[in-house]
Amino acid sequence: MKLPLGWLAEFVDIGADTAALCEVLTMGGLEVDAVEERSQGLAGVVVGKIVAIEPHPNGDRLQVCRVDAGAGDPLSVVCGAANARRGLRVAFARDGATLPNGARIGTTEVRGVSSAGMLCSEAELGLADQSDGILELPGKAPIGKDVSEYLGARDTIVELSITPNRGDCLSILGLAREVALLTGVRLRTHRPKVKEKGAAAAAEVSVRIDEAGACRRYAARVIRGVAVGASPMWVRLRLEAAGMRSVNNIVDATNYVMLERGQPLHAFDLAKLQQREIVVRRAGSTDAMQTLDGMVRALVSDDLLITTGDEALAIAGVMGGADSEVTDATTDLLLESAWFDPSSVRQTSKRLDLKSEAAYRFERSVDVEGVVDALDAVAALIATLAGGEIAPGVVDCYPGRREAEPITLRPERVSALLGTEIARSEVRRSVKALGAKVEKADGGALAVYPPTFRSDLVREIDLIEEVARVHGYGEIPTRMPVKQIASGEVPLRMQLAQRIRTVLQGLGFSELVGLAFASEQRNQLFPGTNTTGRGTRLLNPIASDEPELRRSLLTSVVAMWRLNRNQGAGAIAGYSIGKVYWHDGESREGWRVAGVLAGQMPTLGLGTRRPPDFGDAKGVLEQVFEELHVVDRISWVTESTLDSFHPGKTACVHIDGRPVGILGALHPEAEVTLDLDGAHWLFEIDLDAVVKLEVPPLRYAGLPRYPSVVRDLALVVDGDFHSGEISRFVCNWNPDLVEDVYLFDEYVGSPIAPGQKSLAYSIAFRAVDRTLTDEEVNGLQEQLMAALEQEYSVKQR
Amino acid sequence: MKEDLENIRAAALRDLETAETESAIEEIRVRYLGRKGELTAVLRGMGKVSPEERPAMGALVNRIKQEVEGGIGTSLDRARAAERSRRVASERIDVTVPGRRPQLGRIHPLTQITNELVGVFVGLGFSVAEGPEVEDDYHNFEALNFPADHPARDMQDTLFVEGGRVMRTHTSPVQIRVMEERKPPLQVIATGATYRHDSDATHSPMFHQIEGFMVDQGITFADLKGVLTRAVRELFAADCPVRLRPSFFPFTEPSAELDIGCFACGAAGGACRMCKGTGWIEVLGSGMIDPNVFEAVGYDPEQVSGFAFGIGVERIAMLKYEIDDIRLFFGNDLRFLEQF
Ligand SMILES: [Zn+2]
Repeated sequence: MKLPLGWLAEFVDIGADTAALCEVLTMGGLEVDAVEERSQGLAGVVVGKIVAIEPHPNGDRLQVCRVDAGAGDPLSVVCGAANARRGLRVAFARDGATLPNGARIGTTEVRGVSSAGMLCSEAELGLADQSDGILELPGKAPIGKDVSEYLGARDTIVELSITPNRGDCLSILGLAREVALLTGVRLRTHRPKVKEKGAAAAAEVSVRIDEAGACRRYAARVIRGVAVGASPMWVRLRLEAAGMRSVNNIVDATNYVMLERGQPLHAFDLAKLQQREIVVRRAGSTDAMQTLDGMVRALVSDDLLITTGDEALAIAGVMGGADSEVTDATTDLLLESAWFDPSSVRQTSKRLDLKSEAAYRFERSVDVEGVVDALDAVAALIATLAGGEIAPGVVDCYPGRREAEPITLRPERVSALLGTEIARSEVRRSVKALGAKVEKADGGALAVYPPTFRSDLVREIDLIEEVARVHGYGEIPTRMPVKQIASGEVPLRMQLAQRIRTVLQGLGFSELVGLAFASEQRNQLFPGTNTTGRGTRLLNPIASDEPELRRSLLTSVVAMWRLNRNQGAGAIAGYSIGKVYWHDGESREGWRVAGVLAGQMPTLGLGTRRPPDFGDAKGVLEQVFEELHVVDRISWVTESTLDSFHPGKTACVHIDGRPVGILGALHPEAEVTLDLDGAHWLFEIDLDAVVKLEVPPLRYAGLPRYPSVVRDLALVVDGDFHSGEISRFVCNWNPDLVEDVYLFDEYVGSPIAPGQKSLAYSIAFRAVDRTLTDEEVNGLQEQLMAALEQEYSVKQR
Repeated sequence: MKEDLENIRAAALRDLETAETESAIEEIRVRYLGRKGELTAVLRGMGKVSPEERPAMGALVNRIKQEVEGGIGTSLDRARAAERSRRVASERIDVTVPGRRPQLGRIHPLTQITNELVGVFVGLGFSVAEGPEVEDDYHNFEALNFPADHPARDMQDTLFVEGGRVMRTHTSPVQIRVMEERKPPLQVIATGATYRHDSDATHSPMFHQIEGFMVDQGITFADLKGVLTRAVRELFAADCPVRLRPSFFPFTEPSAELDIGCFACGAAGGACRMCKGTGWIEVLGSGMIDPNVFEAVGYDPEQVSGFAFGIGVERIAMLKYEIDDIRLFFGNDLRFLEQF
């Protein structure tokens, strides 16, 4: 809402300090967004008077004017305008002036005659798009006065954010009321004076409301014999200052009064009405009409229309119809001022995507009791701007009149909720200052009748808020609640996520956060871990190529990889902890952890750069599971990996035999699709599944008292043999004496036969109750080897 | 013979005095004390000594042997010390070569700010709750006193999901879900992603909020001021000015925006870009929970009261790190992420 302070000052004294006024408004809940000083870009343009005029000696249509600008002798100015004449007061741009188009005016020579400035047209002053001749100022315009100030073009405009509950503040008058309330000054209002003449309006038109719920009141006036034309400067300047464009004097008058009083108004060309009974009804079978903007609008049966006969005149509260539009030829007007139901207007305006200043105000409710005042005001203004005779009487159809209902306000409730003692007398004073009528109610409570323009005040809590606002939030004490001491708790998922972050951070992975949207193709490529069904669809996606929610965090991870690869990053190690979504008849969502290790290994400093191998990536995940104390329950299997992953370079991650995630490299086809290449590893883990794991509480295990004996065991196996088989077999073979086993070398090549490989394991033997002897360990190793040979086709190397 | 021994002793000690390296000393040890060494040779001649003289001669041999061994020890110590000095004098590294740094990952700035906010409120006794991001209209709007067809819904341009659902436009539905399940007293915060149909330099379609509320008997607006003032002072500065001003949220009444004194200009305003010259920066929205919300969850608003607040995580991060484009948070450029 744009508030020109010059306009506001007509209704309330605001003082000279704009900053102080803005502070008052902001602290009253009317947040100031911006303050604009507006002068139309005019500097050095003053009121001048042509005291003498003579033809230019060398120019056909040029004249030389002697202009009195209020200081010193009259100056010579060359002017080509036909309407320049002696005695005329003009807008004189002196030497050094600037115009809105940025032009600087100087003293120049025009065909041999010196010209000390320029006499300006409306267009040159930025007041009109085009104009004939120079601007003629009234004879009483004070010579030497700044033109922008004289015209009222210089003003301060305060831009406010009006919250949706305060429809009453969408007008100059409404804001003046707030200023009066918040600063304690008096509000100056006046009832519009209407001079009526001719036959009564009621003799010419009547109004019928079929939908009293949707239109509580509809008032109309008739004006005969208007002259449609341009509005005077002051009207145009004010409309512009408030953010509206001038159309003609009739439309401008309706907009002017709407801006001033908050009541949307509409003028119909009376002559174009087929019948003289105005009916407010639902559209029913009327399925379309052409609106003022020339568009044909499809209607639904619930839309509220202003009609006459079978003709739709307007979509109530949203926009007028083209058929009854006021044109230059219009002479007689029907003026409308009405109350339309906020939600009905909102539904129609939303469906038609037709936003207007009128609809905006109706949606936030207008003052049903202010309807006729506004109608009188616009009639009076039209008579001033466009002439014509106002027909006597208002045709006022008001089926929605309601008995005022009091709100019970308990002063002790005010104090109890605000946490500070506010006297009954202050509570009473505060609500009276809002314009409410206050009576006594039972039990010391107050019966409050809010003013009709405050339709937002319907409950006791609404009044308590107003008391707090008038009292000042700053005056309410600041203190800590008295309560039992209890510390806050953090859910296990968040705790585990934080531990995972800590591990991954230490291993060089940076956290990324991606938007949750995905294309159908990405969701097909990465259908997720432990998700079912299909991708969840958005009805109004931000981007049409991402109409779904991501099923997998890999969508975000891969985008991050590509972006940073394109930026030339060496090591790309990133992960995300976030939500994924799927739809299996119901909308589902779950937490996942996903990451990428690509480019080079994340290390800085001297030394060789090498690409990450599978072991690097697997080690990262193993460390994450180590931190979560579940690493011993993990297994890595090659079955049932995703199509988008390389079948020979990908593992499913199982915990306790159940799938929880994936680790691997992209299928070469997917690399092409994604425009990605080079060594890389991607992983995704179902965090929800990990959170659900039962992890026994940590218990200290006694330190071993006897030494261990470590032996190496080298085996020759088939090339595609899974080394983990041996590790698991050895661990389970004799858990009492085999403490640990790990693969420390893998070798392919001579002298190992082609198609085979050598695996070297380090095995630690230890007994809890004695020191194992060499002989014992030798015996164990032989038995173990025999068992391995029996279980697998392996040979000791 | 005694004379021979004395000569050996003198020669050995003399040799040791000049020996500089461990290997030279080892040679001396072999020469005098080794199996074929000179002292050993003398000992072999003990047979020729008369039995009376033998004990004295034996003692002498042992003494000399000990003396030579002592000399060897001393020389070895000296030689090793000299060797250490030589090493320390010759070994030089370039201490200016870059450290071989295992790369340290970064925690996303939004997570860092979230953790900080959560820490502050958990410290004040708030527990953390979570809720779904794909919400139903009832929890996201209706129960929070956003009637259908009310302009208040325009404040939150909504992303709609199939099946009549919405992407939650704020974390406030968690309030409803917690209150539906539990009874007061409650002190809860909820964190997470939220969504609006909005995208430019200051609006991201996905952003993050921290929502908090406290419900009990006798909770007042003064308590709201107390808790939130404490929290923002922990977040920004212990002495930062705080003010509340009236605002509007459908689910609270009275509602308030909380501003802190601008830290860029010291609340002076003027030409400051951070606060647009007002001297104040808006950091959160808050208010007393609306009676309609209590009624929606089956609480009696005459019996309990409470306050709620919501903080935009991106906004706090942008203020703190002076980030001017919200999209940077979701672009995931490592050159951005590695600054935090
Ligand atoms: Zn500032």
